[in-house]
Amino acid sequence: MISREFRILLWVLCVHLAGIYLFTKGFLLTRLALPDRGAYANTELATHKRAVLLVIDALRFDFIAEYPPEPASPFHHNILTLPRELTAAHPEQSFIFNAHSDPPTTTLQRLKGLTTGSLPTFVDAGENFGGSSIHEDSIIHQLNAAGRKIALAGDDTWLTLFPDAFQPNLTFAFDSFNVEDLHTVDEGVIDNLLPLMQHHSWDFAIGHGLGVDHAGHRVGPDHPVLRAKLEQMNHLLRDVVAAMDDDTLLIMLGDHGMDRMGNHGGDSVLETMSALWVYSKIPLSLPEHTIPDAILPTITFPDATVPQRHVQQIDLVPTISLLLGLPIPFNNLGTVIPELFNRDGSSLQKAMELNAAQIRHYLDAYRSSSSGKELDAAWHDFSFAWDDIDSMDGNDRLVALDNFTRLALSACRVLWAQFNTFLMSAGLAVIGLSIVAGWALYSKLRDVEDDEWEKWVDDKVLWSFSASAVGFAIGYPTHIMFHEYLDGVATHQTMLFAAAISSLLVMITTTRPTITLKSLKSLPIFLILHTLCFASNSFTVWEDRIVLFFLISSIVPSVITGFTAPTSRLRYRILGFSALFAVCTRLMAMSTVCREEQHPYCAVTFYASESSSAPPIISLLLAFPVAIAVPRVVRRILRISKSDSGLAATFIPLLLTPSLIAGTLFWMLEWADSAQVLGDMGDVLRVVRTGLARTAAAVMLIGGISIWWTSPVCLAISKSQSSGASATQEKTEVTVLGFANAFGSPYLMFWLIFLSIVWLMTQLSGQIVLGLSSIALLSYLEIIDSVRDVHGLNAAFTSATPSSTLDLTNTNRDLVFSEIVPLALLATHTYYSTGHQATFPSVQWKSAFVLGKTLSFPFSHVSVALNTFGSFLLFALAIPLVVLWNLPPVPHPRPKIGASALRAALGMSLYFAVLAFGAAACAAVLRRHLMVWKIFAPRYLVAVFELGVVDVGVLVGVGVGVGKVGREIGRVFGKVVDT
Amino acid sequence: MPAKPKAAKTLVSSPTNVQHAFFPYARYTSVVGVHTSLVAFTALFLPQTSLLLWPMLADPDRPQSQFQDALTDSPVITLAWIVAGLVVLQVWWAGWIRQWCFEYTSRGGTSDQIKVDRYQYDRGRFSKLGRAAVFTSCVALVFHATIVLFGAPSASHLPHTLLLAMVLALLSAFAPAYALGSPSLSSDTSSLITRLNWTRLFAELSPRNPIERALVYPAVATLLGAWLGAFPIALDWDRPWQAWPLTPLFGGIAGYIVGSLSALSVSALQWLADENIRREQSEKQKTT
Repeated sequence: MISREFRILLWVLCVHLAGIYLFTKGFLLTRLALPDRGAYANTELATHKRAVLLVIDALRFDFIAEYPPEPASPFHHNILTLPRELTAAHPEQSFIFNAHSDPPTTTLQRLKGLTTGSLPTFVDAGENFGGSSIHEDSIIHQLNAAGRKIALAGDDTWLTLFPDAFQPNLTFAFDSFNVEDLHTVDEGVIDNLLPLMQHHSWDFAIGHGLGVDHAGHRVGPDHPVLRAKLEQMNHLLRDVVAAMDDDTLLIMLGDHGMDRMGNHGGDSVLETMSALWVYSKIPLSLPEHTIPDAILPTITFPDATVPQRHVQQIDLVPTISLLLGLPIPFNNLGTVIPELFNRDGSSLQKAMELNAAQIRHYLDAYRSSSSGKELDAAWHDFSFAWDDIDSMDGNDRLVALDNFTRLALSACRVLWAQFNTFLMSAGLAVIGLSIVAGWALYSKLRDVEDDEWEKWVDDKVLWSFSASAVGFAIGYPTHIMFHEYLDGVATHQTMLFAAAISSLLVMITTTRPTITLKSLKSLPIFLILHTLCFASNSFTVWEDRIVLFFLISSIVPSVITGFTAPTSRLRYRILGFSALFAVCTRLMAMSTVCREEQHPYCAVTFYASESSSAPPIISLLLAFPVAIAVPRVVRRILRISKSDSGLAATFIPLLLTPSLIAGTLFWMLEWADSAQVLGDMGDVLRVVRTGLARTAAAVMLIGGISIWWTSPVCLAISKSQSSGASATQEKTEVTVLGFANAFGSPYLMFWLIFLSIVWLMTQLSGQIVLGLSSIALLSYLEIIDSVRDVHGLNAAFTSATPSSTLDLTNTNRDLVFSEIVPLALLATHTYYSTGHQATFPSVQWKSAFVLGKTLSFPFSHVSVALNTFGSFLLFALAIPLVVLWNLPPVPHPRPKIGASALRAALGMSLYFAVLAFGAAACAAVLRRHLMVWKIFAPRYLVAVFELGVVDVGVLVGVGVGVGKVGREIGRVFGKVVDT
Repeated sequence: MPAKPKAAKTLVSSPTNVQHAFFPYARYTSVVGVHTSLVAFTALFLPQTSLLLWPMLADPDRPQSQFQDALTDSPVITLAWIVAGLVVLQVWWAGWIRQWCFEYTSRGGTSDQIKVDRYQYDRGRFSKLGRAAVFTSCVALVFHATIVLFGAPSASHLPHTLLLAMVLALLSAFAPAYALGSPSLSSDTSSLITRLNWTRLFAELSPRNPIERALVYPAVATLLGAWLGAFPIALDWDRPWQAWPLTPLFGGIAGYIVGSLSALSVSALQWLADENIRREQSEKQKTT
């Protein structure tokens, strides 16, 4: 039978998932990256054998413009003058354009666009999630396929995108990260590109200088530093032009612009208007052939007076491809730049025909793919424009061709490069209301009478599920009626939204908690601060340190209570366990993988070094001792309440210890294998460790769970003879050992099963962290238990009947939210200390191969998920311990463990729902922020997974674990327990 | 907070005490004024002395005023100046508090009794000062460990963290240790009373008279200010003043000043209220 706790938590999970789904659909737009390659090479149009692509990062259009804005700046206008001098002298060889860079205007996204000709999206479906390398067809791939040699001097972002594309002996890459460094990369380009020009061992040379960009970030565009940088670039250009021969084409461009402050990333005019200059020593455009003005659009730079030629930056892709005689990359959406093909009467038309045919081919391929539906709305227009081409001739045909390619671009831009604010707000509304509903349930559940809460919860479940069914049904006609206003929203999304909202509203209106001054005073300050962190990129970047800070701060009230404890035993317990807790968490924080933005204030300690994935020496030394020590510490702490008997006496030494050791041994063998410590042993080590991992997992999952299921009690009975009141009569005194912690200890065994599974999936340094965090968890449980005792005693002292202190059941067991906060923070802290960050590169793909040599569904996926989000699962599962720990099964008053465990579960889920809401709202508000794809969007994804995993964890913990423990203890002690 | 009901209780019971209420408010106000100004001066201007001794080169890329440069150029030297200044200031300030404590406890005695007490009090000054210094150093070590637990670097920046801990200990623990006696773990009655006093003041946070308030408020506010001071470190503004441990240092000092002034205002408010009650009572007596 499915318990009622399970059903209501399932409802919470469903609502959260609905909100996440809606928001994600609006925020993370996906574009399918097709693996096809452009195949049709045309060499007739080729004019050059070689090309030099010189990228001057953040070179805004006005920096090279002949007519800069009025008034001109002395620091960045009229300095880089070579392009306009050459254009004035040789208009048929030199061309200046104002090129539109698609936002986000960040270097990585722009280089992707520049080489593939496609539009940027955050998640390119079909692409490997792990690396950022480009798998789509691109100019670089086409050059490689044609056997051309590529040289690189400058920014190492190119190597990230195309790891194997460049000639090793012609690659001179420099670190792009250090914004403070204005010169290293530029000097690297100058020193290496010019010598390259002298000899022809390459076919395509890329130079990428970062000085202008870094100067912009650091001092802004109105600064002498930028002037010096631009002069230096002008000088470099002069040298390059002087060294060029007739077979070489020069393309100089800014990958994006910069705003007035010198920053970029957004979609403002100044950021998207970048410079583009194409220069050839042989004429490309002959004046005797005229091009229709309709395909030569112009644009005026802000505050300038003279309009200039306007192109798309991705137009370079088909243009370069054809000028070098390469096939146009398959996914290209750019249009050839007409001026560069204006040599004779037919070249331009030929180029545009090829271009249009390629785009048509791409659209067809995309439409027949799994995501083809996205194009449905625009398909009619495509066909119309395509048919239009055939009916035209001469210049009209050129215009029609241009129309078609531009239509394809604008339609795709609408599809892929825009956020859907409808869906985002719908998702935010659902998550926001789910927080209100969760809080209402959480606080109302405390006030419901002991005997009525079961019926009360059943009512809620019934109401909310029927409301969602009604909402789902209403959603359909609503969508039909309003679909013209619902831009880009699918039918099922409207129905889902209606279902979620109606069930939430019903839940909120039927569960109105009384808002008192007290509930307002106990604001969860750390939850609020933690959520506010996501509004700032710095705080999101440093979240790992901030969480430690909050975690230690969150136990300060307990420590203060410890000083006021009325008995010295409680005082020592609270202070001692607080110290243990704090030391464990601080030691955990020593293990870190740094995210890029944390440099130089962070050193990698999770691995042996920055560039290695081997564990550090200290982890190799400590892993086995920790694996052996953790079970002992757990038993030692259980002994305090004498509950280390019964199940614990067999489970811990016979199952837990061996499985933890097996988990550690697995990763030791993995290290020995990859470091070749034992020499090359072929597949032996691999087979041994796969067997080890599978055995450990199977024994724990099958053996551990079945043993636990059959007897989840940690009790022992000791009999002793004692003389009673009359000396003649001997009595047998029966003591139940472990009575005081009858609920907590068996549930802890349940939790340890999951600990050992996550342990197996975690690398050596992470295992040490997991050990420390388990000890921190147990210390924390002892702390809150003692703190409750202190409050109970103090309340009894001040009450009219001090003798009530003797009644150990009368302690105040009401859960407060501030008791949940440290565990939620500890879960996040464990996530960061086990070698994770809210970035894609920090995913530990190694763990996919724990259970097998090759990738296999679902084992690889489950093990990576457990490796990454295992800490959240563990602490969600541990949350019922907050109410179960040291709770004796006394008959009066019957402990209502079902209701209080449910409250704990709702509280934990609430914490992460608020975090997810904060992360989503900040990502939505800051969606045009420079760092959205590097910082905010990944943190949003992590928050979403956290919430999902925590919901599942509390579902299993409270729905399955607590129910079973409650029933079993109830059976042992008679019907004393209210589950 | 347990402080609330007790504070209320003292208010209710005050009418009986007000007759003998002693506190030199005028002197207290002037001493607090001078003391807080001197603390601010120590924090901001004493480190400027470095400029006279070693004229330093400022970072041309991050231009800031010379005033700021003196504070941020070498955090350890800044900290050392502040520690040196605070040692003098806190001894002076704690001397006042101890004086008031003495006057408070010995009020109502005969003049001979007061003379004997006075002799005892003067004689014990230096040994008490020594014990308070030892206690403050111990507190500094505990603070150092706590700051590391909160996330300060554990291996590097040792002098930085230790000096920060010393500043916080000087601000929060020295004056109470000198005025009330340092708590110890021995089991005789007087140390038990001292321990209970410290627990009541710094764990239950329930000061009962203006002297205790002048000790507790600044201590708590110092730690709170240092805690808040940790927040700006994470910002990526890349400013020299974000160097460890300048922000918690100035946060703590600012907290101390705010705490000291709010202790003064609360005590003054309380005194005015008491005065009012007393006047009403005496008027009632006159009429009856």
